[in-house]
Amino acid sequence: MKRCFLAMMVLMGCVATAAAYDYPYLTFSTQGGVTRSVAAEELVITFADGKMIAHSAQGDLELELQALDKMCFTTEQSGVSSAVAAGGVVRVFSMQGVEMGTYASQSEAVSRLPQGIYIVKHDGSTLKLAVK
Amino acid sequence: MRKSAAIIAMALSVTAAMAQTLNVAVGNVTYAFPAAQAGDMTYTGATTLTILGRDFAIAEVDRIYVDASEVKDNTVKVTMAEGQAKVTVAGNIAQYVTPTVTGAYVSIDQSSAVGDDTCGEITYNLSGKASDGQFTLGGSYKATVELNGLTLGCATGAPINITNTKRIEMSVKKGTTNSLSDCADGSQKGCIACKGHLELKGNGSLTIDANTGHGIYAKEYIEMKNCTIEVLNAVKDGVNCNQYFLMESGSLTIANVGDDAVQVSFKDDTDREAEDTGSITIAGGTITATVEATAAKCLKADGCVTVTGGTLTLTTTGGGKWDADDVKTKASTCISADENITIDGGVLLLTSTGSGGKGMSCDGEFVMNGGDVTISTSGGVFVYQNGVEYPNYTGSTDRIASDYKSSAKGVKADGNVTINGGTINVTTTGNGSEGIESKAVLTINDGTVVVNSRDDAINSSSHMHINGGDITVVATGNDGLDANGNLYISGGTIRAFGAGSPECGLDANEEQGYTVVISGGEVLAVGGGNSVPSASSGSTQPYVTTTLSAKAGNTVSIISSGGTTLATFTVPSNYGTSGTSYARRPGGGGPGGGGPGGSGGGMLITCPGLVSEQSYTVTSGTSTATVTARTTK
Repeated sequence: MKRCFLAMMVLMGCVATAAAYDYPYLTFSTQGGVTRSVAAEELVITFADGKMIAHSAQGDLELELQALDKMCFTTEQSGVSSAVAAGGVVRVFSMQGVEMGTYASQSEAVSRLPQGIYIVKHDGSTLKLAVK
Repeated sequence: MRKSAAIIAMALSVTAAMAQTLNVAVGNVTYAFPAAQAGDMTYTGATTLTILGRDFAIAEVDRIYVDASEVKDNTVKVTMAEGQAKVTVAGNIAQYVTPTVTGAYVSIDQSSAVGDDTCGEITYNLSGKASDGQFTLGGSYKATVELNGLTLGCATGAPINITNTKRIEMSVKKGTTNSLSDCADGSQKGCIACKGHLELKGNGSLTIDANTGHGIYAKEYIEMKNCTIEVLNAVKDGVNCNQYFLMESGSLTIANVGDDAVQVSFKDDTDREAEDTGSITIAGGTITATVEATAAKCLKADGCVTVTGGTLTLTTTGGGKWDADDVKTKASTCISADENITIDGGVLLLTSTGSGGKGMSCDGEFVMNGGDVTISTSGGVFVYQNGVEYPNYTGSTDRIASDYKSSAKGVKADGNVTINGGTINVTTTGNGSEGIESKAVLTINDGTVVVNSRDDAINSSSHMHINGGDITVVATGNDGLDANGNLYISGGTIRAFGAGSPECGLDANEEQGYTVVISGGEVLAVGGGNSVPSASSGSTQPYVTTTLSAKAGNTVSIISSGGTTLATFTVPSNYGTSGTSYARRPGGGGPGGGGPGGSGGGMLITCPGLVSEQSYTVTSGTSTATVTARTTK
């Protein structure tokens, strides 16, 4: 009986540590149609200098408030990971496949590129990016 | 193996139930949105974030965070602390609630959009401790305010100030102790001030210290159920409201108040809604109230007072006063109604010690159908003459107009008094104090009535009807039963003891041509000169008179010539032990003679089975007398 109880406690502790929220992610959408997720666990969002800054257990995400359209809880991670958004190098291509350049982050790409729709590649994933 | 599976299942179920909440912190207010409800949270113009219809100015948002806190829909939590309060608003009602927090002062504006077709009723849960704070709630739709372990003082007004004019359910949460105190010399009407109607509920306790006005004030009705409330101090009334006060259960204790314990007024004198009855109804629970002010009342209603259950221990100690506005004297009273008083049940222990103090008094009718009532008054007569108040007047009051004097009484009704059941025991010991008085017709149909009084035990300004019941009255200074009209006896058992002549056990207003009319019942009447049926009275049941003495504890019996005991009475053990008892005046008829003035003599007995002109034996203790029955004088 004691073993049974201990086992239960350990198991519950493990599961609790897993922080199994129904919605593991908070996903942001920009007006350009780009979506980016951050982990909901230990997530804290602040606003400063026209930016939304999301701090989570798995990394940070900064987004220009002007570009933000909405956010919502999701069960799946969507778009560029928070690590990429925080500074991962991205390669950007036009819709015709012409490489537009390599940027230190997606935010930098957005700030430098002219208005239009682009393809962004990072670490094996490909995303569509709208710059307004 | 089976055990392991169960363990896993349990663990998973715990995980599945884990709450997830997005909290938006704005100053000391947090809006808590369950993740499952939040939906699309939209940003507009880089300045506004909108969640579930609630717009947040991004510049005012301190932070947003996600945690596992539980959020109950339709709730607002207010947690008081010294110098600051924190408010948490459930996300589903965030768009309808606007809190303003300054230190420990919390003001909440509940939107007029709140209603059945939007979010429904909102619950405000108050807890914590602050010596100077306030909870103010506006709105135009009913709400619930929970006191969940709140200790709150307020240096500027009422700690709980409800400006919402609708139904406010105030729930004193089970197992919690709550305490409220307000400031002195403020403008608040009560320590709890509510502009709507207040329903006090819950199984917790609440103490109130009111230093400006009433303990609890509501502009409309107050209902009380289950909770324990103590008004330990109030400058004015303990509880004051309009429309009505209904107590179904719980415990209400009121002490150290400057005026009445519970006062109910009409809300509108000209255009009354159906619920604007000005009434007090006690259906259950316990009320313990003591009032000390002059002319103060424990229960005071512009309308009726009805008691159907509960235990009421009410005490007044104040004396009378002259009310220049009403041009009449006023006296302290345990239960006072401008309309009727009805006692259908309950246990009432009423004590009034001040001059002119009364147990119950009403401008309308007094009706008793049940219950157990014990009344004790010890005050004397309050008189106002030539601009002077006499708190314990001992002179003759015969020539003093009724508005200028107030005698202590157990029960006084300007209208009819009708007793249909229950038990009422009245003791009045002060000078001029009467037991039960009707300014109109008094009728006893059933029940047990015991009165020990200084003045008349039971008095009616008009006719008196005794149709049933068990009645024992002892008046040490006046009549037992005193009808200023006819005295009709058709049933019941009556033991009526009055003082010496001209006072008596039975007194009809013979001076004005009225009489006693006996058609049934068993009666032992002892006194100086009992009234007897006149020749034209139409009385049908014969009676006998004798001048045998009645002594405390004696058995008095009437026995036919054949040896059949027709009736037996026991003289009350207190008869003749407190003040003046039956004592003949010179010329009033000595032992063995007739009664004073040719009336019924010292002792009158009537009971079924008596036959006119037949002889009977009356025994009183060890004394006996032979008497002849008569039907009329």
